[in-house]
Amino acid sequence: MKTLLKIAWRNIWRNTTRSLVVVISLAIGIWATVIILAVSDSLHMEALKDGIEYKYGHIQIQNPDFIKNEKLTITIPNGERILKEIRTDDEVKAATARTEVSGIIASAGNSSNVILIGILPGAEEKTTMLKSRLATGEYLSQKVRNPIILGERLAKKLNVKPGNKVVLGFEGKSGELISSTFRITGLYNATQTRDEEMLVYADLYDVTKLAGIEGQYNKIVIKLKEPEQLATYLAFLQSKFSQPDVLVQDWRQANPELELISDMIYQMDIIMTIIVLIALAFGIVNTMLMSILERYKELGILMAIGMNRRRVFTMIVVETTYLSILGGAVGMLIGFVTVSILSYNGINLSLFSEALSGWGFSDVVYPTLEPRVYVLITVLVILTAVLTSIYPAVKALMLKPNEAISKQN
Amino acid sequence: MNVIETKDVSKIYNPDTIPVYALNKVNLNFEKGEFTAIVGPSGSGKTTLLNVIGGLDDASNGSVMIDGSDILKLSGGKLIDFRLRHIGFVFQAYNLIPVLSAKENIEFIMLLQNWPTKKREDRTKEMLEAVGLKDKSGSKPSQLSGGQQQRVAVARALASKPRFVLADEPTANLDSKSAENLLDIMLKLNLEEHITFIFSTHDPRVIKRARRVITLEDGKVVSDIQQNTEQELARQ
Ligand SMILES: Nc1ncnc2c1ncn2[C@@H]1O[C@H](COP(=O)(O)OP(=O)(O)OP(=O)(O)O)[C@@H](O)[C@H]1O
Ligand SMILES: [Mg+2]
Repeated sequence: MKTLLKIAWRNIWRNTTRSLVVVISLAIGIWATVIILAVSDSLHMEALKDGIEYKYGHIQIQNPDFIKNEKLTITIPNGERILKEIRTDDEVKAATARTEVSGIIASAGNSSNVILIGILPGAEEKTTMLKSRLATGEYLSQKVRNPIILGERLAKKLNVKPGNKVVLGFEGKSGELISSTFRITGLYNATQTRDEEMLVYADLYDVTKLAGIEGQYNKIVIKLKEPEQLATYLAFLQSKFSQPDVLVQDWRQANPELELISDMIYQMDIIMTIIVLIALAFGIVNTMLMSILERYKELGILMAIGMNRRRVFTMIVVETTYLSILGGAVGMLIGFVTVSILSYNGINLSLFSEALSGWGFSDVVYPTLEPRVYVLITVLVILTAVLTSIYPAVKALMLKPNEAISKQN
Repeated sequence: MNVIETKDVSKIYNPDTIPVYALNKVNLNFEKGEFTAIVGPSGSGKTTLLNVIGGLDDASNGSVMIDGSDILKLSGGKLIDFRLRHIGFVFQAYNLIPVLSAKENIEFIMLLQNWPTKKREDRTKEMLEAVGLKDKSGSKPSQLSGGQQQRVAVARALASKPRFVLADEPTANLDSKSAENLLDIMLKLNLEEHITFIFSTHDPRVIKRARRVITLEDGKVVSDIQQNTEQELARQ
């Protein structure tokens, strides 16, 4: 066996160029897979983290009818009481309430479709990180009447800045159009350009008063102390409020588009990996078949003098394994280095951000990859190499020693 | 004592169209310690005979008894193992494993046979010396001359002490001096180790060195004579 390993190792260096081509293509394949997975993984994590930290919290409560028909008037029955109760639970770090309504915002020069979110400024600050995203101006301030904060992009589009007034129009309690003046106190940044253009935040108190639904909420958003407690606490809330007009969901359930993104990214990852593996498999089969063809006489003599099929088979599989381990190691190394550099510097995806932002991705990503993904890729690549080497190895076994030896070449 | 016995061995190519009798009812006995040349014109069946005896090719009819068992009846895996344990091979060319040194090539069969290390190394040294390549032990085949390569091949074939050694035109690619030299070594090992040698050749000078000469024509044995080797003639 030791001799077999030695022969296999030396055999792969007989045609250095060919072996290097295999090693390099394996390395590039792995490298590409690592980068693709790292970028898509970090985009994914970013989108999820972003969703939890800035928008959805861990758990959301709403009236199920509100999901079907996003009307300001479809509120959570006894919302105020529920919020109060939840805040006393040990698992809960903070909880807040919101109203949500779509409307139109207008400045002197321009107008835009927006979603007006009414928030409890103090509670929101504890629950999500909205406040930390303020770029200019102030958070919703009590000092002015009808304060509002806008995304920077929207402000640019409307050509307004903090201190300016905007007019908001939205549908009221009985279908009438409510139109009211708000004063911009601050502008925020969002990782997602679409959010920055669409979401405007006002004080829930002002919004509900204008709409005539004081003391009512469309949504309750809960942030937990420990994300690990999500499942148990969710189950607890769901049984506590098991009534048809109260729906308790975790962030995933409440935002099916996140699930969609996860699935899409997962499938893309699998498809990319499979493509790379198939390309590698073809390269390996090709190379090994060529190397066997070149050694036809030699293999014939090895079998004539008593090297049995198992050993010939092993030798060829081991040769391929060596090549794939080398390629795998090189690929992993450059993949790891590249990902490390990228995770430090970030990749600016703003070129593609129009397309990406629609899916909730940020402009700059800092790709990282879990160690187990590296291991998984390495294992997959080596497995592919070894499996694909079976075909050339079987081909080698089929040769008849006497014919191989007398073959003219 | 017979080492090999062939009974009515025939090998027919294209039996359904234009049959070619590569071997035609060959009956031969080979005894322990023989030094035998198989001669005959091109296409007479020399290679076929050696391949059939060596279990590298099957026959159409007949039996090849080695040590009481018919090797034509052995299945693939058993046959390979039989070759490994009992038969030494020397071919016309490309005998050696290119990535192994002379020493490693000689060791190879003993390694496949799982010889204990010490015994194996002693035997390798002994064989390197016997073929006069002690100082080339670390050289790769590509660094050796054709004659030296064939000597390594002979050393490898003999190292594991097989029952007999089959050599198909071992000197065909060598100049006459190297050919003589190789024959000297083969004959010496034949005498010292009592190993049966059966080789095919076209070379009259090689034929002269054989103690038995079997002539084939169209797959048939046309003559089988004992003769004194040059050495023996010289001694008389
Ligand atoms: N695969 C084959 N198919 C058909 N005929 C074959 C095949 N192999 C050998 N033969 C025929 O069998 C006969 C014997 O061939 P063999 O190779 O044994 O001759 P040889 O005595 O070794 O010749 P040489 O001195 O040229 O090496 C020849 O007529 C050859 O054409
Ligand atoms: Mg021949």
